[in-house]
Formats: sequence, structure tokens, C-alpha cells
Amino acid sequence: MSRRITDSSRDRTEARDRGLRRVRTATGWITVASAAGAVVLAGGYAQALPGKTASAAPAAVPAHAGASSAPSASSGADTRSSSSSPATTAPAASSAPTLQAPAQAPTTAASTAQTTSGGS
Amino acid sequence: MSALLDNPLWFATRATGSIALVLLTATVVLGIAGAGRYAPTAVGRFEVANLHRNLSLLCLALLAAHIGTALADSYVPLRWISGLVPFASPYRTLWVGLGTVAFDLLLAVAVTSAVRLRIGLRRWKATHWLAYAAWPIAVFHAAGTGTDTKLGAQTTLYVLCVAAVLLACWWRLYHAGPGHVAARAWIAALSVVVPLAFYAFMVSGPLAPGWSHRAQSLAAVSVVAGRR
Repeated sequence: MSRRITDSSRDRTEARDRGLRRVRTATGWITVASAAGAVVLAGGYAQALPGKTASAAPAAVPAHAGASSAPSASSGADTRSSSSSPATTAPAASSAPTLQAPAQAPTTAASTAQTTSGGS
Repeated sequence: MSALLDNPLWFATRATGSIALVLLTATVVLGIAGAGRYAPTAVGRFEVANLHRNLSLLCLALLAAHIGTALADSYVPLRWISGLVPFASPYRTLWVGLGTVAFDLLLAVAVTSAVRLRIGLRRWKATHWLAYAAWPIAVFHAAGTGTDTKLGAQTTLYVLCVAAVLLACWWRLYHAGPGHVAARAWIAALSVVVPLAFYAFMVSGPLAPGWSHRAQSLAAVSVVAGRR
């Protein structure tokens, strides 16, 4: 009688240990899959949403912008993540002027620079 | 690949946020499906409970990485307080604030779960219901904040997350025994209202033109209201 109880208790203990091992294994695999998934997703986002260079971003949106300049920050963030032209896809807040891309690329001036004094 | 190397924190924020949402969904699904009267035969109930706990901890770890990379990325002016105090972020105040609310709720659930023997089962269970509130808030945060919502794969991910929780809800309701009619009616109603609200939000919000401008406009309105 007591031996049967001991066997039953041992079976339960082994089943519990097996269950705990299964949970540990599943957790490990999920952790690895999450880390790998994060890396793959980051690469996928970089492919699908090609960003701008980090040097270009702060020029449009200063990182130290306060709450009042938040709309510009949002637009800038979108600009960085947008796949199309930032000037056309990410409008700034209504109070801020919208940046427009120049129609032509800048060229060097043929003539020499001239200065004019403030006098009449 | 150069975009990834140029802005690794920005893309890490997106990736960890998406994975955290998937893990939160899996945690909620296990919590809904595994806590009912139905007992699975292939695996022990304690296995489901342990996996539920481990997934929630992993989710919190990824959320910490999500918030940490967002704060470390100097492009968007977020301060550490934005990660803890809701609606304190100058960037998309409402939508980032929803994420903060979800994080705070999950943090409360995790802390009360750690001391559940001290606070008693009834209080712990009452607090644990906050996790069900945190999940839809997290989904709206992801769809509203993420500038990648218009990507087909990203939209599919959100739809799959919503569908998984819906299925778990209906499965739980199907296997639930008699009683708690009012609670079950509420859950059934919510399981219909929340997806419909999410669909309407997606169509009129992130998937509609000019969302990035409108999302920030909402933030500007809330900032002005907060100053008053």
C-alpha cells in the first residue's frame, strides 16, 4: 500500500519536473526567437522605411526642441522614417513654415562676390 | 542596411516595440485561455501558468529595451519622465502617453503579482484585470505612434494580435460554465466593440492620409490644454 503511494508520488514529481523542463525550454526558445525577431524586424524596417542619415536629421529637428516645438519633432521623425521625399510627405505644424525642395540643384556663381556697405 | 546602421536606436525602438506587443498578446491569450475552468490534458495547468508568467517578464524586459532605446535616441526629444508619467511627452503626446499608461498598468500587475501572497488573492486578481486594459491601450499606442503602421506587414501584425485575443475571448466564453452572466455579457460586448473601434480608428487614422500631421496636432492640443 505504502509502496503504491510512493510510486504514485514519484510519478507526480517526475511529471512536474518534466513540465517544468518543458516550460524552461519553451521560454528559452521564445527568448531566442524574440531577440532574433527584433533583429530581423529592425532590418526589415530599415529596408521598408529607408531613413535619412543621422547628420541630416538634427538639422531639420533639433533634439533639444521643447514642448512648443513638438509638432516639428513629429514631422521630423516621420521624415526620417518615410520612404519618400521628406519635404513633401511630412508637413510641419501649421504655424511652422514648410520646407520646400529647390527646383534646381545649386550651382557655383560665375561672378565674384560683391559686398555693399550700409551707407547710402 | 545603411539606414539601420545610421539610426540603430530608432529601428531598435520599432522592433522591440513590435515584439513586445506580440509577447503581450501571447501573454494575454495564455491568461485568458488558461485561467478558465477548461483544463488542458496534454500540458499541466501549472505549465500554462508558468509560461504566462515567463512571457510577461520577457515582455517587460522588451518594453524596458523599447523605452530605453526611445529615450537614448536623441532624434525625438523624449525625457525619462515620458516613460513613466503618461502624456508628458512632447512628441505625439496622446499616442506616446497611451504607451506609458499601458506600461504603468503592466508594471502594477507585475509588482502585485510579485507580492500576491502578501496582498491576498482577491486584491491581486482585481489588479490583474488591469492587464486586460493594458493590451488594447498598447495596441492603440502602437498603431497611433508608429509611423510604420501603413506598412502592410505591420498592419497584418496588428490584425493578427487582435484576432488572437478575440479568439481566446470567445474560446473562454464558449468553455465557461454557468454563472457570471453579466460579466460574460460585458466581455462578449467588449470583444465586439474593441475590434470595431480599432478598425474604425485604423481606417480614419493611421491608414488615412496626413496621419503624421494629425497625430502631432492632437499632441499640440493636449499640450495647450495641459498648460491651461
